[in-house]
Amino acid sequence: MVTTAPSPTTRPSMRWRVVDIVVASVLGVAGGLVFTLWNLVYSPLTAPIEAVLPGLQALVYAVWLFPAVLVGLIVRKPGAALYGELVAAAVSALLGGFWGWTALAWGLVQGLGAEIVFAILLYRAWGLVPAIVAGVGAGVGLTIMDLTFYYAAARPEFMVVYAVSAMLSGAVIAGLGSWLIVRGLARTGALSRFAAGREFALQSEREATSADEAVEHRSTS
Amino acid sequence: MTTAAASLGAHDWGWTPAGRSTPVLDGVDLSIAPGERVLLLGASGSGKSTLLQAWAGVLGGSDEGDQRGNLTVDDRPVAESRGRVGLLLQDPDAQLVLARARDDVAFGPENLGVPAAQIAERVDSAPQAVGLDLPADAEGARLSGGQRQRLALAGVLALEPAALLLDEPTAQLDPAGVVDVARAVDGLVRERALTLVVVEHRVEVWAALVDRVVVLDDGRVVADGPVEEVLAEQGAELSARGVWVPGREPEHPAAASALRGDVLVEAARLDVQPAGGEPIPLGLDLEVRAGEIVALTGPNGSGKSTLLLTLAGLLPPAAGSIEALAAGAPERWSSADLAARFGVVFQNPEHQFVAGTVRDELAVGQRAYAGARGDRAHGLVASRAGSLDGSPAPADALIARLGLRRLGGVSPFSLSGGEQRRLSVGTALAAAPPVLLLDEPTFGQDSRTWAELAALLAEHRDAGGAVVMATHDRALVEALGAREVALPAPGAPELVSARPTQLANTPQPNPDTPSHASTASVSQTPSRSATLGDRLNPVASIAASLVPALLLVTTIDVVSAAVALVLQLLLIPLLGIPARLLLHRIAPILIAAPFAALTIVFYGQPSGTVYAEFWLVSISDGSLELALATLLRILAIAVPAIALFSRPDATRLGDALGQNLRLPSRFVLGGVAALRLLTVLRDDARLLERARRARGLGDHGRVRRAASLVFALLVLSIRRGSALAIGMEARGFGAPGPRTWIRPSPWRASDTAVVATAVLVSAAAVTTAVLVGTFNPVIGVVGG
Repeated sequence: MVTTAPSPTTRPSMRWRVVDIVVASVLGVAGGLVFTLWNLVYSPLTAPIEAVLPGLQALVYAVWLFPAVLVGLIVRKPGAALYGELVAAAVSALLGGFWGWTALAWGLVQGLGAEIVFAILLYRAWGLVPAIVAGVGAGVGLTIMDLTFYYAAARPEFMVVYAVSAMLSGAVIAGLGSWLIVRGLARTGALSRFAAGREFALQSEREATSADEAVEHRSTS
Repeated sequence: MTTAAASLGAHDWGWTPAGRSTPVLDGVDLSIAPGERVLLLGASGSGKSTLLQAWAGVLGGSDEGDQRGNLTVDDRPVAESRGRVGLLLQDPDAQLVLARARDDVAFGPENLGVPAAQIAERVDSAPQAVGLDLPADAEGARLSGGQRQRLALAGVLALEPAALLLDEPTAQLDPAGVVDVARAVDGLVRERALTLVVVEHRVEVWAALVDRVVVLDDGRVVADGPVEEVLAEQGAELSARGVWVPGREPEHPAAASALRGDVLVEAARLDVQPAGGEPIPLGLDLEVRAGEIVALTGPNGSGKSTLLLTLAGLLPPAAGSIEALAAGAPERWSSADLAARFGVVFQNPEHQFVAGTVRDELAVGQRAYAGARGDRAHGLVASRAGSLDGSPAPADALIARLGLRRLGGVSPFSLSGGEQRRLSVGTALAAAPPVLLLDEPTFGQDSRTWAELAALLAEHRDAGGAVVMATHDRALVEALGAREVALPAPGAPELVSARPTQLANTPQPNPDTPSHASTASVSQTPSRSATLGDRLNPVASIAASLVPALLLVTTIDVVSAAVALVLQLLLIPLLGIPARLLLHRIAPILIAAPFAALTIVFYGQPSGTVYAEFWLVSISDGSLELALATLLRILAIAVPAIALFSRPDATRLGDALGQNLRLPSRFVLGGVAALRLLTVLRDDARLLERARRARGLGDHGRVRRAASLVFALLVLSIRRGSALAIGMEARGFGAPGPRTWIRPSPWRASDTAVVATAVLVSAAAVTTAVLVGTFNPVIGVVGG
């Protein structure tokens, strides 16, 4: 069934179109806005509890990682994950994030974490597993930054718990989460100018056709 | 003007977008002579916008679809005519790229590499040509809809196009704005003898200006000729297809049949206030009775939308009181009660969709009805006069009336603007609430769907319901026999200086669409008297923040961190930042750093005397010292980064990244353009949350609400981004060849000095630690 589908024979271009750049930027901005809302509800409540956790706090930190994976999955161009995360970090700084320009450093390293995964896959694999692995990659970036900046003096046990939590969080929140969001976005038709949205459109067109056929079949029998 | 008007041609041309099996346009043959003025008509989905975008060269390459036949500008392929064709789109937000109006006008010619001196001339002449007289630092976001659309037109004009293509340029404007834009276009086209193609379904706005009408249907040209001729021959058919043909008004519903009933909503001495805006003193006394329709009218900025949201219990009143359905103030109702009692339609329907399909969207409304049993038992809803039992129409019947029959299974977000509007009215009706509160319910409708909507509202009225609607649509007010409540024009605009003769019909920053005042661009190009911190090149402040941090993180010890921090505290005052402001900005880090240190107290590397030990926790001399080092080091890295961060405006940041750092201009400007949408998206987020309360989902848990809100925000981002991309590309963004930067981004000696000083401070701190023998390499710690 699937093999008869019209599949693009030419490799998609690696060059960024204008719409790729602008949508990646706007998604980055939306990501920065989400960071800001998240900072408002999250940090003040949990900071005191976090201080005494043995590294488990990183389990929810991947909210700060989702723009990398999301923009990567939607735009599918070299550098998209890195760019999306960098813009989000810059915006959260501009909106009065706590860390001033240092947010850029986190954005850079976290974005690189996801970017390297997509690059290893030669920018050709955009399924659920690549999304999860890219989320883990971003989690590695977060781990590197936090463990050198905040917790350089912590014991190895703490660091291991922290790293595992961050990667798990990256896999679930940034990886699986972004993949689900992209599927939902494709369903809304908003991604019609992107391969991620067109694949879905073709797929659902096929499903609709077979559903119609089934209805016809039922009514004739 | 170096060039004469352009000719446009299509020869057996067709376009099939990628991911679709049928062409949008097929076998189009059309030839438009230089200087000709053409009105392009056709039902929505007939491919009008596609044709304009194709001529403007922004349809995209083979990635985006398959082209066949030829499309020409001046008998040459479109790709060779960049800048010859100017395209104006419907939504001003999709076209204004830079925060300040003058910068924005320059954006197009900058992309095309026009010499700076010429750009400076055009920045003066283009706004004048469209009748805009703006102060040098006027911000696009603060202008009224009509002014913003004229600013966008000025931006197109600055490219000095030889043909002007307008894609429903007045669809989003109030009547005053429509007149402004049409008048500006008229003046331009006549004066410069430009070729003009307008897509619009309100024929009367443009009929006097154009000399030829082309009708597209199902991807082909079906009529082509002089205006009077085509309208005379095809008027009935066009009207049946939904085109607003002058002299063929859509059918009006019958006049009100029910007598007015009880008072359902009552407001006393009401003043309103938009979220994040100034109060609007209305002092309004209003009674809305069953069986009655109230129309809130008045120019943009008079507060119609704000008043509507306030009546709906979604914004707190600035003063006065509201009482509805004998159940107190709507503001205090639960979200479920609100959804059952009031059907609310927002200005932008995309704010209020919460379900995956059209059918489910209506089902959400019906659930709200089911949830209102308690109300009915208490006779709350019984006040609607007896003709209807109040039960909602079956979803399928409603879907059919709304003209959405074939779309029940698709996502609400994938509908066209007009379809979305009808669906949003449908979701309000689905809950069979006694009161409907509607913001521009007929916006974007063709004449057919307009008639159906008017009929639905009349039925609601005749069944004993009440309607309050904010609208510019005179025909609707008359068709429904609505009682009109005209809001006064707002006070004198602050930032906007229009010509005195135009003040009467082009006022105001626009609280109707909540204020878009940009936070990312508050500061202006700094003057000479500005402090060192403000004058700093943004690239310098980024470098001075990050490079020294790289040195400091190599070691974790008290000495290096303390030395760095002390030196910084001595030097930061030189930046000239007021102490209070600085303290305010670093307050969060002053709270966060001790917590990080506390973690190290518990989990730091133990050494020396151990004071307490359980499970993973071990408090010792060593962990206490490392905690102090952590605290100081976080401060030493974060405090200067925050002090150097003087909230640069996005345009300046972009100029610096593009010119001083030489990052690729397409990405830099893409980011800058997106930053301008930040305030738009933040308003979106606010409205999304309100809409969820109105739809009855506001009582759900935080997590579910947040997830639904974030998803809708991402949909809106992609939509706004995709539209902005077309607007930017139409203005030469992404053109090959060098770009002109008209705003200099100087790198001064002081910039070098600040970066060097910052690096020296860190170097001195780390060197001291090495000399004293406390240097404690991070790598070693991680390894050990």
